[in-house]
Amino acid sequence: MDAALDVDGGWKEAITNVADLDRWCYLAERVCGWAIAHRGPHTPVCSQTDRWRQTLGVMRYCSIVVTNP
Amino acid sequence: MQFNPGSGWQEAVTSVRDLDKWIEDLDYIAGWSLAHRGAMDSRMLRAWHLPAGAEVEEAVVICRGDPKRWLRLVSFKGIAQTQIRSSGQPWETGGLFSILLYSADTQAAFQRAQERWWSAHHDPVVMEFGGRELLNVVLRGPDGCNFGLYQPLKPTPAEPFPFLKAGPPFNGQQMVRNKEQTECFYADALGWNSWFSGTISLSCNNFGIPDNMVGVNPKHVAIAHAAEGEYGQVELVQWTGFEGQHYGDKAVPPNLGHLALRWPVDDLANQVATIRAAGIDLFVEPTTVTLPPLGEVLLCTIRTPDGVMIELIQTSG
Repeated sequence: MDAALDVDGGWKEAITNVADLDRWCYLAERVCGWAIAHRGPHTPVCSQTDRWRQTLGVMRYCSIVVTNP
Repeated sequence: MQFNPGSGWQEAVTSVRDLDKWIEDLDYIAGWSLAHRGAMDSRMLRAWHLPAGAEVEEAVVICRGDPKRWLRLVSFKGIAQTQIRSSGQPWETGGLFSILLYSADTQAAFQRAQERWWSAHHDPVVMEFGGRELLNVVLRGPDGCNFGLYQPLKPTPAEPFPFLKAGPPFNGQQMVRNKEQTECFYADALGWNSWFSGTISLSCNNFGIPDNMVGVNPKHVAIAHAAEGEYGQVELVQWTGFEGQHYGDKAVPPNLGHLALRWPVDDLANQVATIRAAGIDLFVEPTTVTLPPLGEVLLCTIRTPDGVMIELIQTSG
């Protein structure tokens, strides 16, 4: 995956808030043939580097889980 | 669960891809539970004009509180299939559009459906029909299947809703090309009568058409049954002003979607004579098959003018 900055004017990623991250990753691979380039806890974008870390056409799936402490 | 002739259809047959998911979904969304699961009688394959090599597993799911009629899920393996109503819009004709049931709480059922990846043609809306108000949603499930849920609102039900989530299926809704012709089919072939037949213009958008078209084009509607009572009936809907595909030719096994309504009769031979006298061909000639949990039955099939399979069954006992 080319994670270099690529400020060409177009948007780099779409963010989709989903209920079931496992199933979305499965479908992304099976239906679209996409690869999972990263998976981990979601943190708010806090720097330009983070913002443009993805290459063109990347979909970032976010699964927000609320737990009761 | 028993053979129950003398009223309307007793089971709906739905062809699905993922039997496990369907069983879990219908339990979660409607509270229906598994009453039977196993291999389908291979004689049914022959009756349905399918190659003997296909594997078919079936499952019967019921509303435990009222197990007089139910849904039979069938899952074909090793055979090419397509969705009957693929990408189907509500105004498009052919096949069984929707299975209808009463719900305890339509909003809650809709949320549960969404949690299971289902969708709907529109968010729940209040429908007024026949002096009643019902909270209605038309759920879009997997495999091109729809389920219409109705929560009675007014008049206020005298008793609490008797089921935790939903009641048993009560109606097989069909989008037809010609309401009168299909009404005649049910009357001539099966002796069913319409307790409602007319033209309606609903003011709610339960089918998710453009808002500015709601109530503009009337629908010709008939609701027919074999005997008094709301359960086991069919609703025939002919839209006007909307055009689209016709799916009737695809409404046969092993294709995916709501496939058939099974109607128990006391005297199948006599009913077949009536059907033939009406000039209607049999899609399946009388055949003996095992249909758990009913046991061995004599079954034959006719198809409505829009391709819906009506299977007549008579127990051998």
